Amino acid sequence: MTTGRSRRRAASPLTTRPDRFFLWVCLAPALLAVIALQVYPLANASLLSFREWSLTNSTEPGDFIGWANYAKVLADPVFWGAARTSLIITVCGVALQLVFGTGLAALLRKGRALHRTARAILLLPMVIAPVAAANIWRLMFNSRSGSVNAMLASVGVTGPEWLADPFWSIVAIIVVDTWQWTPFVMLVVSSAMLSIPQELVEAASVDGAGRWRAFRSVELPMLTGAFALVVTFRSLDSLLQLDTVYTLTQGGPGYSSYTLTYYLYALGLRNFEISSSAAGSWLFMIIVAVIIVMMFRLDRASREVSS
Amino acid sequence: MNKRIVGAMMTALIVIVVIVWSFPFFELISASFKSPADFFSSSFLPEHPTTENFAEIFSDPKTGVMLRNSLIIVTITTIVSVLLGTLSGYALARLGLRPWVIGAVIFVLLFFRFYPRIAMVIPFFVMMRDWGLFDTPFAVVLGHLSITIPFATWLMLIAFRGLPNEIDEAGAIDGATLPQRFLHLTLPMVGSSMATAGVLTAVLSWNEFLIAQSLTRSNNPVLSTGVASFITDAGVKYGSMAALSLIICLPIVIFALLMQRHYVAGMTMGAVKG
Repeated sequence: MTTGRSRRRAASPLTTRPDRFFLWVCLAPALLAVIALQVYPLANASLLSFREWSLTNSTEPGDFIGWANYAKVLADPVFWGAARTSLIITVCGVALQLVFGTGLAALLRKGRALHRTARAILLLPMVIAPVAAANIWRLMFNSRSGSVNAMLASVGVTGPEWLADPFWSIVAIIVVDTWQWTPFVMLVVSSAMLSIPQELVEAASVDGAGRWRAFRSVELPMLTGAFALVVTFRSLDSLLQLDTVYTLTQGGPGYSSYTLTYYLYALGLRNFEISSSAAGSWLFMIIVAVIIVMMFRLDRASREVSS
Repeated sequence: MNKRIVGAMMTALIVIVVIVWSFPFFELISASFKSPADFFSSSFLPEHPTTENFAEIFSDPKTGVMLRNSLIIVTITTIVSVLLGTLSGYALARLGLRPWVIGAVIFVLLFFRFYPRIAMVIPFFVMMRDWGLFDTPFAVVLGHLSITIPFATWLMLIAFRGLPNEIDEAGAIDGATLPQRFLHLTLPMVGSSMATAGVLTAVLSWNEFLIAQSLTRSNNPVLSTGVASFITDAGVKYGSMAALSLIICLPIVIFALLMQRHYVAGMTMGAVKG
């Protein structure tokens, strides 16, 4: 997706045995760490997903029960509600981030001091902890003392009880995600814009194309690679993240703002249904894998169109 | 003339956008100085400014534990990730692997970055319990390393693959062994990539919530879990919630501004190398 296309071949093939030995010694610690900390737990999760284990009943995993855990999760309406909510948040959030991020990148494309300073300030939301960002917005959305409703009131609109309403709490999550991650889109699109040869854009404007037309028909097509990249990264991260929902709404009111990760978190580490949660996370894994494959296809198609 | 008006309007637009986008930070700062009564009024600035919230936060021994744990976790995670990531990135770049193997390795490394982490957290929780590490900062370190080692490896692999071979070959002709060439010729050329890997690892580890929340309980909270634990909606705790949120934000904002070049380089790597 991003890096497999490096043009340079690996270093000249090594011939001496001590050299190879040295390289394997270099690789060993990281390899062992990845096996112990990633491969082993994941293999463990797939085993757990076929056993019966609720930590409230027993401290050790029980018998193998086939696909029962999967069936249980798939039969749970909360799971499907969470999948729907996750999808809505991701699609709306990423679309807004794409529009705002590209707009900001276009606005701040010059190397002038004002533009550089603005970019530096604008990237701050993405460096802070998502839990802190969510707390900041809990203050903003507070219906009595928060600035959001105060501003709405100043134009004569009575703001909703943001975090206590099934609809508006989802809007709130999208707002926080957009506030925090638009800067990421801005950074990636900016750096892609910088790599577009300026002569092309100038040539277009000499030919009489207006600023907007030059942007739309010359630059935008050259940015498809960057767009595919941010859409992939942001969709996956947004789909997977727990922090905002956990801090902002706790999945509430009721189950209305449960997302997939929050659902699995609550199932496994709050209700201690360890094996059901493991089964659910493998189902989630399949959804994510399908998305990754689709993105790959889209990425390839867009590259073929633009070249 | 027309151009100058457009320029001035653009400048105004940029200033407005920056103010609007950073406004939530001002709300945070303002709220951290508000007294409980201020949260019942809609005034933006505190009507009865107080430092009570900070006093309350710092008089709580938990805050010291959180700060200490977060610092331990970030330090160990960053050092180990950069060290192991550099070594393994170098090995993968130099082993003369076939292109499809390298492609597969990169795919697996990116997969570790993007699969639903909750899948790993459940067995990790059981594993840490069995190893007696549950509710210690070291459990969180191991959890973070599981993400940051593959990530640092990916970053360093790309850095090493981008280096020209000529210098290394000249060193080989002069009779330097591979470890000598690695230390004295290759390593100095990837210093900036190592810094990038370190900065991104540190930011991730400082901010990370899911793993920290799942592998610790009340004995060893870290800053991110402490910040997320203000779940009372009574309106009473908003002040301390704001104060603690400010405390977790401030160091990372300063760090990111100082290290901006490396941070941006890491974040936009995909776009540049794509």
